[in-house]
Amino acid sequence: MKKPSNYIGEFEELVLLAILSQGDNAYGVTIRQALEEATARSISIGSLYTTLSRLEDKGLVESWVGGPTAERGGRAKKHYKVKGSAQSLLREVQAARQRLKDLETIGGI
Amino acid sequence: MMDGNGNGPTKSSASPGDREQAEQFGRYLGLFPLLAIVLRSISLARQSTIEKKTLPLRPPFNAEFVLYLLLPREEMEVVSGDLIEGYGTVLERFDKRRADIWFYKQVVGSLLPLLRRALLRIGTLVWLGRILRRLVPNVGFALEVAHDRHSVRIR
Repeated sequence: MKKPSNYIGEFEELVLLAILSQGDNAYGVTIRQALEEATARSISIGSLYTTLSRLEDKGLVESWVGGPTAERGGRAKKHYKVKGSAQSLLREVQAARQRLKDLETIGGI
Repeated sequence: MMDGNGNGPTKSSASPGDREQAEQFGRYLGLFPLLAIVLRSISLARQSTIEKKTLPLRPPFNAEFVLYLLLPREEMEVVSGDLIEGYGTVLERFDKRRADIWFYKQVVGSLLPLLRRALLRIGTLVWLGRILRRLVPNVGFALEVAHDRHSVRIR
């Protein structure tokens, strides 16, 4: 089993949150739609899958291939799920962000 | 008109009411071509909608081939499936030409991250190869010797 990494980039964090927002229906198309709606920018399928495979390599995401469907020309879907370790990592990132925000307030900026 | 004995034309005995009816009928007859055109255009529109719905999902071959070149085998089917799903939506809303343009746009937009990943993989392999060569300088020679010994044993 791969040891989860304790560092994630901004886009990786967004992808993790998008997967969480889609619940059981998280696959390429829905994740991309959620990201595009949330960030209001176009996301290429190549950059999404590059990030998803990196997250898998880091042990933050697990995936499984579903059955082929007619609307996809007989191609299968790959579903994604965020692991528990990634969820705690996301919470850590949020907490760090909050601490920095508090420091900023104390500094009077 | 002929009379009962066949003695040539006789004066018409049609009343004004009958004439009016005949004129009205003529007017209706004149409407038939128009009605036929309307019905024909409705049936053509319905037919084109049915054709659009039953069109096979065939994205541009060249664009799909580029994906096959750049993607690892396990991702090929999944990524092209995602794109075909979007392609079907665009095809349903617009037409094949526009759906093709959409598909090309998606592939071109994905070229940079996919190329970067492919180059990184190749770069990593080259780098590992160099390290291995430094660590074991005579690895090629050792392999050749082992192979020769093996073939001698077989003989």
